[in-house]
Amino acid sequence: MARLSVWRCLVLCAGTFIAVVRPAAANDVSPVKIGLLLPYKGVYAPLSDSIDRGFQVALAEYGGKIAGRPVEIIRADDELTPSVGVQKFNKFVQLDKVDLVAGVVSSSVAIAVSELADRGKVPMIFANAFADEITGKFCSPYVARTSFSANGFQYNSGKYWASKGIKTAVTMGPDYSAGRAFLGAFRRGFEEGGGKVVQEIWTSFQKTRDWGAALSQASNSGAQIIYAFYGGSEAVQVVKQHADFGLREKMPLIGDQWVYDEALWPALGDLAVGAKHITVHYPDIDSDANRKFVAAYREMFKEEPDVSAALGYDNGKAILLTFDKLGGKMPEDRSRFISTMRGLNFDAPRGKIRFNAQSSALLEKVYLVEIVRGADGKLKRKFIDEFAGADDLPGCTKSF
Amino acid sequence: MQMFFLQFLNGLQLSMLIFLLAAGLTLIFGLMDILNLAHGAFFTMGAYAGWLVSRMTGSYWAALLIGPLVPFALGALLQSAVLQPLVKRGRSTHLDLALLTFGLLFATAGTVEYFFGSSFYSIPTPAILSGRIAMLGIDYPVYRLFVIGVGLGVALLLSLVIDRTLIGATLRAGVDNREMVTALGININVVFVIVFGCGAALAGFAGVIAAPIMSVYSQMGIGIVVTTFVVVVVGGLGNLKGSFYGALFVGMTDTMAQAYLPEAELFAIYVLLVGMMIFRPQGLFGSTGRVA
Repeated sequence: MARLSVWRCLVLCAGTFIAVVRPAAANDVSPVKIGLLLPYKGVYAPLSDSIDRGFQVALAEYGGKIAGRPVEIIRADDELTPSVGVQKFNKFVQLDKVDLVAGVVSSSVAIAVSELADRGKVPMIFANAFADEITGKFCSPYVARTSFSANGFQYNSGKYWASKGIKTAVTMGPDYSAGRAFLGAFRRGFEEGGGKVVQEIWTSFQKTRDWGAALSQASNSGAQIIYAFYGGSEAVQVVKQHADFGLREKMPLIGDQWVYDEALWPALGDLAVGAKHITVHYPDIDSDANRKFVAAYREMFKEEPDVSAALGYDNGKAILLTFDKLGGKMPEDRSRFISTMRGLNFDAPRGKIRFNAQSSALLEKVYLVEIVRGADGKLKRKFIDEFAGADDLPGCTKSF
Repeated sequence: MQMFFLQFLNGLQLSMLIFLLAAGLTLIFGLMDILNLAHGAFFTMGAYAGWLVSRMTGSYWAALLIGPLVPFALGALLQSAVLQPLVKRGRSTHLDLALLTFGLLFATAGTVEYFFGSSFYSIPTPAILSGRIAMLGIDYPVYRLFVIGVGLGVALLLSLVIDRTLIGATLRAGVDNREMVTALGININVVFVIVFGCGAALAGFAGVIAAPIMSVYSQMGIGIVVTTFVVVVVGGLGNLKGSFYGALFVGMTDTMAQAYLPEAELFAIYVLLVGMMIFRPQGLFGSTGRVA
């Protein structure tokens, strides 16, 4: 009897043991590790904070877990420098053993790390990095982008303004790759639509001290509008000096979300009011997905989300949705992660997000808005019109 | 022709703004032999102080008067508490001081960012200086004419003080022969502190003047310090008159390049700098003996 009970105990114990171990083997609870690579310090610090916060909102929507596995975010600062980005990317892969890398603002950092992602077969999902080449010439089965390309954003903007009776425009922007990419796309669309860019003014990036010379040139050209691509301090200076020269009525300065970014509103004061610009997102978009996102963001951070926050959210959401589809596991063949993401079609704050064959997200809508003073005295954006984003430029020669 | 006149005014405006910075820098170098790379930090601090004052009082003029006091105080403190002790310990070669002040420049930007965030602010243009004046067939912003006027005014005032007053005489003597001035019973250290403070105040003053055009942000002083150095070298190190003409050279070159040869804008002033270093290393007005 005693012997039997020992046997029973052994069987029972073994049974319990198996019962404990089995679910653990089937249900991996080790964390999903995501490396978030952003320029956290320096000129793009505010932008990085917004992207990071948007990412956190997406994660909070899933309760910080995917298919029962906790999600761990490991952050690193790429200092806007390709060599540093490469170093941090390697650290993510070799030391932190991340499942994938997300984030990245600068296109030059993006091009550098996408080569590593391709060689090391590590999924890299870009949050900004708008250069057309990233999913064109430098495309890879291990790289996706959840934002949009320069051409996707600006080409149809050019067409749109041409269709609204604008026949002549001066483009003005910083003389570096992003400036050339965005304004080049605008020009192609604008001239395709029957308009004419009478002058392209390129100012030296972050070296120009005074915009009088450039604005005098623009004013002299007799065009109907100035179409500008600037950000940060350069945007503030251009908008202010444009007004100083009395060009606001004569030759309006039209631009995108960065020229009239909300971070610049305190410096612009009343100059912001009445300005029109195109954007991929603004907090008052009338959709369920957006209302949910804006409410969650306000709740978590006590402020309104800006465009970068929305792009950070899209980045996080796309990654989590993909993990969800894969049952919370990174597939053995990690390019399957990207191909699964490519198949997504989801409602994001900015509109529906779907991907093209090179895993670059497309813009369902580009919004034209005007900055107005609301009833509470605060500035906000008013919807004027919308049009679809364009396709990306061709250039990818690989097939996957 | 009108276009050229317009660009000429733009160039003049930029020149005068740079001159305000270069004047302080060249005075400090001329007298104390200090390569003050932190000059841009005083520019930033003046602008932020001015912005705070203008926000509290709503007055541009109060900002213009009170704003420069902060860089004056901090400049005087830097000279008396940091730089002078270094001289005493013999750690004041050009390289030592350049490294120290270079660090300060970035530390200031970081500190400002810590306290005020990385947002952009602005000091509103006063009503009397907003709008435009029509002259010779062009419309020109009044505030830019004001900047030109202020620059010329400061140049005149400084040259009067230096050429016609006892303080100026002491200063000139200090530049020429420091030991002799000390032997004559003048406390050169006090003169140093005051001149350093005034140089910093001038940079702060430039910061407030620039604020309505450039806006106020943490990194505003970093880029402009390079341009200022080009001016000081072109004009001749330690020479006030040289800084004035150097500023005109550099401001005009920059503006005209942007207007008529935009491909060259990025390097136009550096070509000027290199040319100057090769053919006239002492600068436009520098004494022939000194090679900095």
